[in-house]
Amino acid sequence: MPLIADYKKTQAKEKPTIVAFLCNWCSYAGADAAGTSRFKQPPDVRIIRVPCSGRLDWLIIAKTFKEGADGVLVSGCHPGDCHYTEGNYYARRKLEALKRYLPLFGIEEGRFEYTWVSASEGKRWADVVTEFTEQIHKLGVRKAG
Amino acid sequence: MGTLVEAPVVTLAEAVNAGFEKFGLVLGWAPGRDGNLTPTFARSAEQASELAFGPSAVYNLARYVRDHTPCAVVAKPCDTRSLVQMMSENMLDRDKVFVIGLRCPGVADMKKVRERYGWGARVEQVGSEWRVNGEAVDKADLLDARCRACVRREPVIADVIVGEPVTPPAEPERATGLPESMAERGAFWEAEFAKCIRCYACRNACPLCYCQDVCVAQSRQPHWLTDEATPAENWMWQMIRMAHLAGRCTQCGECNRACPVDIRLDLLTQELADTSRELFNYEAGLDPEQKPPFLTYDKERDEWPII
Repeated sequence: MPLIADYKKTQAKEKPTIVAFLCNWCSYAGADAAGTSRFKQPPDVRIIRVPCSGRLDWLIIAKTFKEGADGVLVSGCHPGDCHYTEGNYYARRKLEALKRYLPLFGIEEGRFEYTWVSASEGKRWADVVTEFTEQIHKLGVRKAG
Repeated sequence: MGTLVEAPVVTLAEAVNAGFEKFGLVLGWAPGRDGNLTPTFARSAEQASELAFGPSAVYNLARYVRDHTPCAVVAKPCDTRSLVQMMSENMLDRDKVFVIGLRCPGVADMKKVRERYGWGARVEQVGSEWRVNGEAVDKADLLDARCRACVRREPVIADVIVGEPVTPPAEPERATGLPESMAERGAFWEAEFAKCIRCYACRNACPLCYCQDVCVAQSRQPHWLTDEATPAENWMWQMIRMAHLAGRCTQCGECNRACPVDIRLDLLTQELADTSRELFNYEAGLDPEQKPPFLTYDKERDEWPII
């Protein structure tokens, strides 16, 4: 039983829970484009739309892990293309720092990733999300941390 | 290393007098009931004359400065960094505080002293040697964790400086004890956080945890935390502290000292400092003009490998 998860939510779970936070303007539209272009995508990612990757408080990601997620992916606009001009510049500093903190608590590297996908990059989204899900399936359900 | 400030070097008594004359209130340490130093607010010349410094002056008085300005404060080098960090966040006016900067040979780990010599054991410095209840002891052995990790023994800001120059250790000692494997780390932190009684001493001792409206821990909208002291909730609480102190923590070590159940918070503050240094080449609390790393960005430099 992992420390950082509520017991009931992780009990007897067979498949890992994967959550993706996508920014409204680029990555969410990119994931949409991947769908309309009929690229193959893994079915077990829960996508949550946020206004901007800069909106993501660290604590939202920390709480996602606490609620029992096994993998969290954050995706925003490419740096320089933010709808709000600079949201993802702030976001990448926070996300990179958080990525370094999580292994301290036993959450393996690779369980949390961030990436940039634009609205037209349906193929890139399909690749990124496939790669990430495979990575999480390899790591499996969180045991420690 | 260490930013040196230009300030007259005086004795502690002279410095305290100058501070008292200027603002009529000096925050310092004076001997308490057991003879060890305890935080004291000197509001009269008589009280001011009792202020002292020694190995038992562990408390970071920067925590009280914001609520009592204008005032004078006796500050160890690590405490001056807290003051500087508050100034860089516009939470403290430089003109409203008279900083008596100490050159610090380090302070004692009072938990260790009490464990070994019992409650009421008295630590004092005589010459260059430390004595517990009058008997000479090994100073390196009793030195507090934050002092073993400290390479700055000179105040960062000061109106007057007290004390002899101190040679800092060349290499800071790292906080150890974190297991290598991920599975063991999970178990390690589960055991640590299972001890937590959520007394919030870590928050209350921290000079930079100064949210004036309401702490997020008590907020019900958004509801980040419940009051249950389960390991998961306690982890979330420390994540909140890490998120709020990232790029700001000056590693004064107060949270680690204040924790009544000895949770290894020094590992967390060390991680915060390491990350700031590696990612942003930033150290908190060195310059009142510097911009905290999470309030700014650098288009050119901020490139980290992503998937």
